[in-house]
Amino acid sequence: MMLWKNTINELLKIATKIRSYIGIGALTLLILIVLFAMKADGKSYIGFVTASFEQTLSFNGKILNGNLIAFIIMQMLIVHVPLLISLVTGDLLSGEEASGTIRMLATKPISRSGIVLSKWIAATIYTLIMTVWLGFLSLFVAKWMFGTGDLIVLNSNGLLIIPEADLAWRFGLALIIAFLALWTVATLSLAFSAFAKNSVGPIVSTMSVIILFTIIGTLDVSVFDAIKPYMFTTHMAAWRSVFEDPYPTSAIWESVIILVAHIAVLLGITLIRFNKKDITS
Amino acid sequence: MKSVFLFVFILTGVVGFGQTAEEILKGVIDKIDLVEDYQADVQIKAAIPFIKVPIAKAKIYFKQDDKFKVESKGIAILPKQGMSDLTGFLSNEKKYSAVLGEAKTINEHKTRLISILPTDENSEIILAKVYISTSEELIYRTVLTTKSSGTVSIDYEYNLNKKFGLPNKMTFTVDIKKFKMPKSVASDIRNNEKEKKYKDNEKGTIVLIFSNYLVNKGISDEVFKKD
Amino acid sequence: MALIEVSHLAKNFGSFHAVKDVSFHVNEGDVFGFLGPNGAGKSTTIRCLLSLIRPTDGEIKFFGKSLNQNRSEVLTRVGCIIEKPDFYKYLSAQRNLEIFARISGKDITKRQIQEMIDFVGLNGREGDKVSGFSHGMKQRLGIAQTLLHNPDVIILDEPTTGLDPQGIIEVRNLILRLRDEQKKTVLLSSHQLSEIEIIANRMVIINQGRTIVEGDVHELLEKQSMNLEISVANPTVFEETIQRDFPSLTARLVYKGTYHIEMEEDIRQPLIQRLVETGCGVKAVIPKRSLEDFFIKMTEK
Repeated sequence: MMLWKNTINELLKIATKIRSYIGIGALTLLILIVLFAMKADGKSYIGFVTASFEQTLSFNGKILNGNLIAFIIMQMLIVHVPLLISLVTGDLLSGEEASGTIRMLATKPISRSGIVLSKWIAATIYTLIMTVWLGFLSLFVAKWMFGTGDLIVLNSNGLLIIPEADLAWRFGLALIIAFLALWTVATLSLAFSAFAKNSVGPIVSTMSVIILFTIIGTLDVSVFDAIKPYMFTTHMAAWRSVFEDPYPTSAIWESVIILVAHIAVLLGITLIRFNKKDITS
Repeated sequence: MKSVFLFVFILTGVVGFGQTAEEILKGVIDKIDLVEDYQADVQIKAAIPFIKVPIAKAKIYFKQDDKFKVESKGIAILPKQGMSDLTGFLSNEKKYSAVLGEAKTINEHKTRLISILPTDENSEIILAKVYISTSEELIYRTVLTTKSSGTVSIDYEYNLNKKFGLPNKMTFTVDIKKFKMPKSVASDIRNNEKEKKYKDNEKGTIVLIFSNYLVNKGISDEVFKKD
Repeated sequence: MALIEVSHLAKNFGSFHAVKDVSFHVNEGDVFGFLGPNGAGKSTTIRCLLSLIRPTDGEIKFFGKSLNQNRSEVLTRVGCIIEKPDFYKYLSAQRNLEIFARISGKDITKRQIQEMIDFVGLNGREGDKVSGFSHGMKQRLGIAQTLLHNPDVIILDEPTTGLDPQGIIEVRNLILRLRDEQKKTVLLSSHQLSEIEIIANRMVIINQGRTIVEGDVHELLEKQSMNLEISVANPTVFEETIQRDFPSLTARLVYKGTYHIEMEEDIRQPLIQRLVETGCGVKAVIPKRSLEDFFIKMTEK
């Protein structure tokens, strides 16, 4: 009951903080820029995708459609949305510490775990809203602007054309997996937030970890091969696998399990840390 | 029965051997010229290396001289060469010189090879080998060598619209150049898997099955205007 | 009945012993002074009382129950301001109160919130963002937040720090009203003995993490030496009177016509009477008792 009440509080705080809208605003702006760029010069982008085959084959039908734009947007933004999310989630505990309100909060009859969990639930809802907004803008607005059609996907082993009728569930599943990836980032920044006294540290730390892990992931050095499959950044692009044919069920499950495990472990660390923390600010 | 077949065989053979390349082509061109316009439904089945594509359905429109349009709801992959451009090319006899070649049986159809060499140096087609059944005045195979697309081979099957020289099935065999992956585009998570080694060039086939032909029913120019 | 019992509380931060051995109890209806110089361990002790800091050793009981095992229940009945009241600056005063009311453990209506805003004199400003509030206004909002859920025990950590004289008087009056009108038990920390002397009935003094003395404020203070600051119009007559009639006293000139007098016993009444009779022109008599002096004396014992 107390958990639910404080979750309402946390959502209220997020809803009234300007920084929460920086994320949504930046996301909206980025997507609109991509949409207009595609409207203006999408043909050349398509040329780039189909270039290898242009001499022999002609691609008929609407290649530059809302589904392709949505796919391109998701691919472009999966790197940037974590920053926008950690802007809010990295501030959840550390922001209270910085403003001193943590003293007020922690002397109320809600347990420390209750505080962490309600913030985590609020972070989850914020992440969900961002994901849904990303999905709405990229799918619905793109379809409204560009119409619908089959999706042409450029994978490492060539082109795959997925019929329109086969796309709704793929986008749905892709968004669910993308949400899991963003949820992991949100939980990571919340964990950092439990160790910090202001929000800059957790945001910078979160991005540093993502950048570092991404670099390790792309390095073709065998020493990292053992850890690569367990780094969450490896699985942040797992949503893309949904657009393969046949789609790799076991690989997707593996990604889902690893992401969920990350969330559980990070939340556990946050709970332990915050419960043991002496509030001296 | 056997003798009837033999007779036809000999007859067509004799007739064939008696004709010049131009004469044989004229029969084909006359048939083509019967068609002012046509539209048809087409089912496209492509088996191309590096491309995975479901069976697509499209509608094609043609109108003399060279108006051609593919209308598909989804994405349809067609060969760049050999759809309507060949017949257009053949209709203009001044653009090429034809040389009569060997006889060959293709899918049980006795044909003669006519090699066509464009007179225009800038022509996209460098050499067209056309296998024509002289008895039916139908093309059964075309092998096009083009400047930019490599070699395209087309096999034809006819059914209801033989009299217009319109096939009900076309099988294209095309050269596919080695697929170059733009690294920045694909961020596959299993990128690190050992890349499959492909030959420099592979063959791909595209099978077009035509149905519901509407020939010479008149098609508005508007149809070809839309993108 | 003791509402708060602290026994042998200790807290270490690594190798630093912030609180070594602090014990005291606060009775129902007390305004209890929690005294000590800066760095004595007051803040750490109070934070332990409110479960902000986990004690290394010792026990804390509220209402006869262990804080550790009944944290939520205890905190439902406690209101507090630690150091200074901090609020969500981007929210209005009313929204802030709503947020804290929601997790106070009690059902608090919007009307009750408005009544509390009126009580602390912030009516008309409840819709304003806290970012525009002065320190005094925040302090009042802090008190509203403390009282919102009608707690039995109120813990105030240095509540007058940073306030202007007017604000200090307001807070003092408010504490007295809480005691007299609402029968609240108040624990009040301070490093100023004079403040405690005015409003508290019982007190504890701690120094260097240890309890020095605990007891009734007036009983404790009466045992102590009394210092006075006296301003007079005729310094010559004053000095003669002191030398002649009170040879045991020493009067040290602080400023023109103002003297500091230290007394072993409280002889304020005969002293002032005599000074008036001799025509010194007494302008002011201010009792002076510094906490430092007081517990230096206490520790000497």
